[in-house]
Amino acid sequence: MARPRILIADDEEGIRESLSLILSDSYDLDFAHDGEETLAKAAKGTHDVVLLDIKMPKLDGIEVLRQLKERKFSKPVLILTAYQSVELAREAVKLGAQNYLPKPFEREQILQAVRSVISAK
Amino acid sequence: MCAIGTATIGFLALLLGLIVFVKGKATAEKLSFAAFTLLIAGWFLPYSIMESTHDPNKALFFGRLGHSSVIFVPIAYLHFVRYFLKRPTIKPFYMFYYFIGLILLILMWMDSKFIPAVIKQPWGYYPVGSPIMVLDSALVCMTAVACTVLFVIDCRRAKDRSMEEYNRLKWCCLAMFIFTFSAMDYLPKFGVAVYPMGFVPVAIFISIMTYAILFHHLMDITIAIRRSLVYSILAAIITASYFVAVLILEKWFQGFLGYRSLVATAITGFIIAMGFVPMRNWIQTIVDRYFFRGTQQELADQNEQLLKEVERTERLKAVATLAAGMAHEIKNPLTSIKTFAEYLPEKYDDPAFREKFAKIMGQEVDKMNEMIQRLLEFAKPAPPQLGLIEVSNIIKETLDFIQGTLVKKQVQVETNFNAPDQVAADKAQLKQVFLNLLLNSVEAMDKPGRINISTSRENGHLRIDIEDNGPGIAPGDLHRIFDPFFTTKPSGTGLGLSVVHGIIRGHGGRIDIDSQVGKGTAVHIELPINGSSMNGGSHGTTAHLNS
Repeated sequence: MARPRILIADDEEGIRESLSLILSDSYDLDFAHDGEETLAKAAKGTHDVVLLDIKMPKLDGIEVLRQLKERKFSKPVLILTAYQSVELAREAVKLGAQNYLPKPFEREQILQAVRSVISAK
Repeated sequence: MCAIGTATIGFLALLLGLIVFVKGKATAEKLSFAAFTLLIAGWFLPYSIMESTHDPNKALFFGRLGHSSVIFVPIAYLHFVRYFLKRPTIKPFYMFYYFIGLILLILMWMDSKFIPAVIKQPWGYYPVGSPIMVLDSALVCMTAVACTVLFVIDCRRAKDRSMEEYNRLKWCCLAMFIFTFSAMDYLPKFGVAVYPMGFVPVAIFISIMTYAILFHHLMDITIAIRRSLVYSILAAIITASYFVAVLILEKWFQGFLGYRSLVATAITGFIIAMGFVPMRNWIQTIVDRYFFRGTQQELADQNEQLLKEVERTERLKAVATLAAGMAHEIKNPLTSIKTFAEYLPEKYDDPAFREKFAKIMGQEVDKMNEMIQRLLEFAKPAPPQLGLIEVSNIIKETLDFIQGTLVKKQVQVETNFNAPDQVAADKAQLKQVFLNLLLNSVEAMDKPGRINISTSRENGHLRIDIEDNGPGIAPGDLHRIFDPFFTTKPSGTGLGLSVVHGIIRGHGGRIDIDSQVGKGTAVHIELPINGSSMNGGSHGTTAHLNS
């Protein structure tokens, strides 16, 4: 059975490597380095989950969420961010994000969040 | 009477336009306002001749001459509003206005249908309207209304940002609204029996806008406007009373002495004048204390206190922003370090993991260190160690330093150094300024490009201009370009330009950035040639869009 595919969208190499460490044993991973690349890859519809950073070059995560919503993107999106803001969390959820995970994160937190959105499908 | 009012406003417009033009540095805002007031003067001065002459042919000529300026008032008004509100230019829009203006000007002088004649009114000769003038008046009215709406929109937005900006724009909104009533001068041209009082709203508009442009750094122009109105009325009453007193006393002397005496009149006037100034000052103090909650000195002190409070609040806001930005910049590297440290016990035997671990650890720690270093430089830049340096040499050294990057990105650099270009400055700090600016410019370019660097001396300052034909900076980013942690680069601390700003300020200089998306960015630096500390020198920063 094919493993679920996760798109990791973050401009920081360290974050991409960290998430790769946590998730690569159980999932196939794809990476995006900025907002525009994230939109282009997500639009292909080949991923089961998107892990999305907020602060990214070219297009930030909130704008990516907005455009994904306009395109009626149906896959779950989890927000990862170092900004801890209630307003941001509210905005992200309003735009369709399934969960909002702060950085630094615990590996169990990431694994649990991904498992729960995949099993909910 | 009408001609006197019209002529007075014409001269007032000319005078205020000149004051704005010559006072301080010439900016697009001031130049466009000066052009606008010049056109107003070009409108009212010929009209005053038209209204006062008894020759209908002369009246027709001056009527057409005055209206030739009116034709271009809408475009000048638009230019001024665009620069004052720092809004982007819509070139086709402006081209349309210029085209229409040109057509109307040609029709004015080549075809008698625009102003076919003048008609004798109670106040003097006045132009007769025509179908073409209907179009012209519609354009003027629509432009005035549109500009007022733009001001109202920006005023509402300013309310959330800054009370000072809001109060400035609030009065300017009122001025804009009042200006629209100057269009009432069209009514008598179409047979409506009203006195052309358009010079009154124009006078009010020009006065308020002149004040806003020249003195906008004051806390609030509201109180100054109110005070000046009250003072003007009181001064008029006192002056009138003075003349009446002189006349009455002269009559009394005539009756008492039985003959007219110029000497007696002069002595009377002298005695009254002796008391005039103290009385005026006393009235001014009473008005200040009871109507404006304090004398000028007290208000100045209060203003200073309020300004300090605003500065303190702004500083606290900046600190909060800085803390949030810093927290974000540190949390990313900490996340990576934490995750890799957690996996170390179970993956220690994996050489690929160990290699990645070493790389990531080093990278993330360096990132945090660089960020903290930049933050320290931004927060407390070292006082400049001033020495006499040649700016062109510093720039050449910086260009040599980044030569590899320039070649790799295929960026051509042209320099135009106008000797002498020596300034009293800190060599290392200036080098950092040019390094940051040039690297920003080069790294932003996504195709082969060009950078022009030039120096010139003006008014005791050395001006350095760095212009590129890169992608430019988006309008929404431009006003934040010097904010700490603000960056549009994929990797960057966001502190480079903040540090540049701090260094230039520390040298008593100023830095401006103009940019247009798709065209490029220009950075203008001014440094005092003889050096100036942050406390003693003038300093400033602006970032704005070019048309």
